[in-house]
Amino acid sequence: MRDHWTRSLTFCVLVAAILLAAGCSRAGNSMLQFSPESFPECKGPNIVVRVSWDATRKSKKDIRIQVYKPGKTPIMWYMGPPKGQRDTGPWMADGSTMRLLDAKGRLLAMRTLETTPCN
Amino acid sequence: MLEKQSRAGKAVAGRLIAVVVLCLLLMVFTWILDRASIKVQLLAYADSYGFFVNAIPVVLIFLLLLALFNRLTLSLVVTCVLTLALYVANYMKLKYLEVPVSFSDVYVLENLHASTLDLLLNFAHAGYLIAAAALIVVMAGGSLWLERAFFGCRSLVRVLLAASALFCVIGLATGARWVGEVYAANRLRVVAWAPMLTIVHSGVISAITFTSAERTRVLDVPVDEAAMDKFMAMRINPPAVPSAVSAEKPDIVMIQSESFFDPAILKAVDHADELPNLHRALASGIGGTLKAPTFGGNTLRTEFEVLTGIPMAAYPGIEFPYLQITQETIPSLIHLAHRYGYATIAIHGNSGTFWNRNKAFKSIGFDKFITAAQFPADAPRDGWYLSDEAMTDEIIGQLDQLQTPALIFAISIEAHGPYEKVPVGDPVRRDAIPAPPGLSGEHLLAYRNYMYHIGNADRQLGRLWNFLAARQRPYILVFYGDHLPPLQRVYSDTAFDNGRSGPEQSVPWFIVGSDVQPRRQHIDAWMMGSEVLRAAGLAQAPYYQLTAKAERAQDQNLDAAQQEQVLQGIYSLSRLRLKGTLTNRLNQVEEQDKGSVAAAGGE
Repeated sequence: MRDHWTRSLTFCVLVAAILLAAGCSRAGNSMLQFSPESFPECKGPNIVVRVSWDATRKSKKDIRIQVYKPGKTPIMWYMGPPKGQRDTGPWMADGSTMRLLDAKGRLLAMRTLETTPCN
Repeated sequence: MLEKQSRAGKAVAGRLIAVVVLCLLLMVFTWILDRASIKVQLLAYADSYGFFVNAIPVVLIFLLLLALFNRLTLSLVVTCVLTLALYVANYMKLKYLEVPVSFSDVYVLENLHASTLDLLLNFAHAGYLIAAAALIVVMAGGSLWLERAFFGCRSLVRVLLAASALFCVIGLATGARWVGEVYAANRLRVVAWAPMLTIVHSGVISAITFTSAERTRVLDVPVDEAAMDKFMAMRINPPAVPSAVSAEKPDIVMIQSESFFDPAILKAVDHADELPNLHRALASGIGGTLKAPTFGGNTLRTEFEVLTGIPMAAYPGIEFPYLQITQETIPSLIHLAHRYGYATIAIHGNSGTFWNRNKAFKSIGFDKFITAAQFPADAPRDGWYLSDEAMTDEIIGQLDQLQTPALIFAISIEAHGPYEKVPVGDPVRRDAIPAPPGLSGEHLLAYRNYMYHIGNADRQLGRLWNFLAARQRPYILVFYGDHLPPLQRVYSDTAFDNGRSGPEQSVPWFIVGSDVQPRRQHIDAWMMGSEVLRAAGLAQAPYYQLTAKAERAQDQNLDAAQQEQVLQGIYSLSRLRLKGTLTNRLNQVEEQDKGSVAAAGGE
């Protein structure tokens, strides 16, 4: 009896681990970072963020970075070499998300700007 | 004996651990789906309070199913499929309408009819749905047959689990008090003016559950007395052109055209040759751009504003007014037309149950509502539905029968999306439609399919206009688009002239008629009523004097604070109007300051 539940549980955990690994594998080799990664909400609503990226392990060609607010249509923010860094304007807000895409439009990495409560 | 007890104890512990671990996995699974559906980083806000409470309903459903089915795998799979279905719906709604799934969608599900399903299935692959249903049936059969029962027979724990889970699920569904405490605004970091941000902070399910607990208050929005006083005291210039005065009351024909916009507002389109009648009307009548309170769908929001003059922004918690406002009488332009002796008829080539229009149109005051079932069996179709030609035939037929002045409100449906696969009656004509450079593949096809159908709308507009002009009766013809079409991929490829996003764009509107002077005017949809009354030469009721005043205010160089004052004033006045207490309020003001409203209204 105990073996049955242990097997069921192991099976479910294994499936979850495989799914997670599959979901993360492509994005795992590319880097997209914000500095700061989050900011106090009372300092907003908008801030300037330094964006760093490195997709050289996945692509030697130019990459694209799109930016959008959740639920909105992405717009192109950067197109150029697969490694670099650049400052945004003062328009990055809570939830603003950037996507790093290779030349074929495949997603390499994604980053979302967060806020922390001020109280 | 002891060994037997020990084995039994270990078996119970094993099951308990299995359930706890699976509940934790469900939490992670739900959060990942949540983040994927709104297209943010998978771990964004994963350390928040929302991460845990977002999964509570999912875990409760899992436990309830476990108690009911008595099979672990089956309960888990069904829970995962239901959760996946919710998040796919959220993804699709964001993709086509740019709004997330919300509690208000429950009202659509409560009023689900064949016509609603028919429309929704256009956005889904029926094959996938059938495959998913078949998979669940096979899983259920296989699981019940092969899998061991989770609880022993006559298990007290199973009964207690079922009762507790059911109690909690009912509490969530009915918005019980404890739900309001668990899903409190400050804990979830709710942002009242930005539902998407609330979802980013706490998840789609948390946001829905929060709204469920709050829903009894959607109509209970406070009236801001000071804002009303300030607005009514504002001195706004009277209209430059006086109202038309007609000895004979004109027929009023209003066309709400499905997804109608002028593609010339796209960067790569200078002039849409497919819309000659729109451009002719804009040159010879009153008209311009109209701000609709929705984008890509949810037609009823624009329709409600036009028919009632009540801005949707006055009720931020209401997404679907015909489903959420259920009072017996809703004040409207239609009730007013009745008082002027008009026969009032609504026409729509779809089911009357769609968006609950059958009930809502009675409250709004229409004498008659002609739906698809009353159209002739051989009425022409184009696209997914009855064509604009069929709708125009019906309007002309009704006008020919009536002896009294008539107000006909017709809602078209031919140009409904999705446009990637909408059928067209004449593919050769569709393929010859010029398209903006840069569009290709499915995006190009969607654009041309859309243009084909609104080209038909424009052609029927011309036909109706010619008919009205040739008739020996005064008339006004009102036309507007209900919202921009859900062509997000086209908008991404071509962008808009003004550099703004799709939801920030406007649709065209105009009024032409036997006695209408040309004028360019930008309006919000809720300002339409006063424009119609004025063009028809009918005296404005007090509320419409106030919306007309708000319309004139936007043309004056008011600063942002004053513009906000106007809006807050009109929102509060519209709340009183819906409650039926506006007249009392205006009488009070009149007593205090004789004639202030009349002077401000200026009509």
